[in-house]
Amino acid sequence: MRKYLAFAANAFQRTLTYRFELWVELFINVLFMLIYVYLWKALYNGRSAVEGYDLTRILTYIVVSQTLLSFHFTLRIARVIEEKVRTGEVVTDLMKPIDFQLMLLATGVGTTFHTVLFNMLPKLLLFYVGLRLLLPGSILTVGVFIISVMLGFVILFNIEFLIGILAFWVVEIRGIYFAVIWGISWFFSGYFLPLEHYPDLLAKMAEYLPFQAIIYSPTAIYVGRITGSAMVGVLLIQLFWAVVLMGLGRFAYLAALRKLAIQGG
Amino acid sequence: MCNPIVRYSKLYLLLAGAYVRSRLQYRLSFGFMCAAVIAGEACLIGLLGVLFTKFRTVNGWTLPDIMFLYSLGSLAFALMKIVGNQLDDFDRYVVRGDLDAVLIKPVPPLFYVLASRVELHHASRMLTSIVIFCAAFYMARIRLTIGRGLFTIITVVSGSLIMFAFMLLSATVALLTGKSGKITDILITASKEAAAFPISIYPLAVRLLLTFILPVAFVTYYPAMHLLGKDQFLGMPAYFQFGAPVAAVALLLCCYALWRIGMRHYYSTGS
Repeated sequence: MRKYLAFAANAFQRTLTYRFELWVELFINVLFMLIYVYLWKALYNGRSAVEGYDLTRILTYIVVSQTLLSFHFTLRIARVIEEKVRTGEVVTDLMKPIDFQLMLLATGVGTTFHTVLFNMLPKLLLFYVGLRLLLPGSILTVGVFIISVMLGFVILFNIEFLIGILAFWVVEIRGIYFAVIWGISWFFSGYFLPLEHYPDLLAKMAEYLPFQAIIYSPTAIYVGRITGSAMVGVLLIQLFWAVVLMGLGRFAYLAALRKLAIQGG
Repeated sequence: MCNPIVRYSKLYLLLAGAYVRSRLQYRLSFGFMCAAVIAGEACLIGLLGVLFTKFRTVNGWTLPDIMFLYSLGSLAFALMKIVGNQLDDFDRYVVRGDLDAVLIKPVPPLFYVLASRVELHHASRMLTSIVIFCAAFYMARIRLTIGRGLFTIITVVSGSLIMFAFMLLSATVALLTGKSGKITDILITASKEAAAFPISIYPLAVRLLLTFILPVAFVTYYPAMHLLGKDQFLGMPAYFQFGAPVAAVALLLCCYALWRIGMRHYYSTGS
């Protein structure tokens, strides 16, 4: 465990050197969120509530989901693996007495922890004060929300890990990464609007895919759309995806190692 | 060989062609990159589709209208990306000292930088945008006349020049400071996103900003007034619907002047 903590701490410290970039990123994020806030205000003009979301609740949803979207810009584990494979750095990683998947998870946690502190929390606070958003219903909700966010993070990590492992087979994974993340994951994650607003078929599809567990689940818990025992169900689904995807990642990684051994020497 | 336009066109094709050919060597990753761009566009349009199936209109704008705005911006963006993408990470030219090698070439530095890397996969964004645009045209039941076609082409070219001017501005910052600090992202990504929606949803200050400072309203909103036959100028003069080329040329001249100043003050990092 201590080894992995060291990796996380290291990654955290490395992000500190790019402070200017982080300020710029925060600024861009806030601009984007403002665009959506104005859009939703205009959309709700003259409406009281749609699918159980009144204006305050939908704005809270949008702000929280847009905040959670930052994980996508921070983690970039797929790109990290690609880089490691291309430069050959992966060989030194494999020699370390440490698990490759968990090492990358630790690195990801370290990088993201910085984003949570200096990007996500400030954004949330800023919009919470500026728009007088909803707060989670109770301390229990806060706790469940945090667990849900962490499970969502692990799910995203594993999806990225799976894509990244493809780099052992194809030279460049940028295209696949963008197609999966920008195309499929974003569409079904519910970052743009709550899944309740989707047509039945698409909502059903989203329900059976892991992507909604990254953004929709925690956000819906935060705004009180998922409450009581339903929260336990959601957490279990998230846990299911986290475990399944982690297993798949491990499997793909072992296959990649065999492939690497053929090439090596 | 004496006509400079012919000479530079040939040179551009030669330089750009070499890079495109090198990229096409990795056919699979080129294919994936195209697929990614299409998937990204499809995702956004899909989300807008879902949103407007539910809400029908925003400030009197329906889904086809929004698709119109979005595709105008996206077309301009794609065109700019094909031609001017290299300026996106211009700070690398400065930091690594690559710019010094460019400066000793017997062609204008900006020309060389632009010609040396042309990302063709953005053509797939162009195609997707054209499909969305035509679908919007069809859904909004607007007849496609020669006049409207020409107006659209002029609008898109002007729009791409506006975005290119933003790129040039951030490259100038990179030239002087050694880092562009993702200023293009602020200027282009955010303003393109803002211009994908009718600017009537924003407060006056933002509308003024998008009209006079970062004139992306001329890329999408004002030209769309003309194409869609709308009359929501929000206190601005109605001739703004034809203002895109003027805004583009004015902005480009300003940014090019700044670029020239930047070039004069450029010091090599010496590494």
